[in-house]
Amino acid sequence: MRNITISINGKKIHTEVPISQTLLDFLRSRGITSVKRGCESGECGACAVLVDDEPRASCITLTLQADGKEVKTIDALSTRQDLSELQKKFIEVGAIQCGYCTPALILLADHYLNSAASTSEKELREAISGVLCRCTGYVKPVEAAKMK
Amino acid sequence: MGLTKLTDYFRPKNLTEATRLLKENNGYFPTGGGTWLIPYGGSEVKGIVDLSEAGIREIRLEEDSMYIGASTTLNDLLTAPETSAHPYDFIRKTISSEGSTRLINSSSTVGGRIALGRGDSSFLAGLVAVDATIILFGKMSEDATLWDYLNNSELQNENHIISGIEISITENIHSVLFESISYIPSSPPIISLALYLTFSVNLIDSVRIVFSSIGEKIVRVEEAEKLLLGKELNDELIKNVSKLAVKLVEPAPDPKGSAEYKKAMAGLLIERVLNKIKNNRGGS
Repeated sequence: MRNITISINGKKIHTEVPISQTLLDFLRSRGITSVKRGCESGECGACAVLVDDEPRASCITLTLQADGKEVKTIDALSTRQDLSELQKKFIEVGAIQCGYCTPALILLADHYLNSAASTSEKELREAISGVLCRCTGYVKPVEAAKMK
Repeated sequence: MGLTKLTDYFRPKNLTEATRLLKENNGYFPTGGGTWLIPYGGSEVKGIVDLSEAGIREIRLEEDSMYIGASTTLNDLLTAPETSAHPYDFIRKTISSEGSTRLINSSSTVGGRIALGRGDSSFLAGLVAVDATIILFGKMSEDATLWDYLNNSELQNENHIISGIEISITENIHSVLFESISYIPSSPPIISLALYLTFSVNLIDSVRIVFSSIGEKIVRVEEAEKLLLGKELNDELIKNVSKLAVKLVEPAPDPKGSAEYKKAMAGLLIERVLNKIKNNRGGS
């Protein structure tokens, strides 16, 4: 076990974690179930989070790799009272079908839209390409992100 | 996750400390992003030495060379202004062609790509084509070319850390070309070719022909290179080099393409690239 200090969605936590624990397991054990368990080998992207503002597949990231860093999930985008503008667009456009990959898709799209100096559909598609979506074919999620 | 015996993790702040940890502990492995080691490392991994904060995440452009630290991520390279234009734009082209995603490229590092040494890495093929030098920390002998390193298992097993690579651009780098064949542009290549070629007046004075995605390792066709050296580039020579390359390469079949198909495409890619160079120079 190791002691770590980690910030999750702006909240600093001091805790003890097993050395081999993945960030995915850590987050889900703390009730952050918007981070989904998929392939567990970094292929599907359902577990995507931001670590110090860089996209990471949390299933192939050790919790210890995030020690001292800031972890952000989709939960950081909304408040108790209101969803973010992008989340609302996803609902408005109908960009959600089974919903399993949706948190990761929105998180990566939001990260791209907020960090790119100028945006394009091609780059947006590249930014979310790490998240496999077998329902939407990406048409509606891209449409929603472009409306933001 | 496959790390069933993992009992230790360190994130040293410098390479001296990282080297000490690796030297003193059996079963300790260095990692940059961990995209391979964490899911596939297995039970032999007892400890991880995370190099992400060891001071080797850096892209430095100098007058006639570029240094890339081993912990630099592929995403860093895809977005760095230093790789946006000639002659270093081949770095972006080769990484993009690998068909990996931004999510994974945010973690995958240059050092990791070299350590894995996979034969399907277009990026490695591009680096071999420009004769990149690999910088090894903790090793007494001199730095080696990436090509020598990838083909020297004794050297790979010596105690050292890959700290970076250097690409020297001292010659006419006009002719670093990358071509690949894939089902769709965003899917990994069925076969790809990185070719570096320079002229002295009208004669070819240096050339490297490097294939990826035809076997377990990157393949350099040195006999075909010899055929080009000292000659003027013309249609007949291009045909002969293409034929020789087809004869020399021994592709392994994979789900993307049969050995016969890859063999034929190896010749086609060489012809395509050499014709492009000839036409750019206004040759007949």
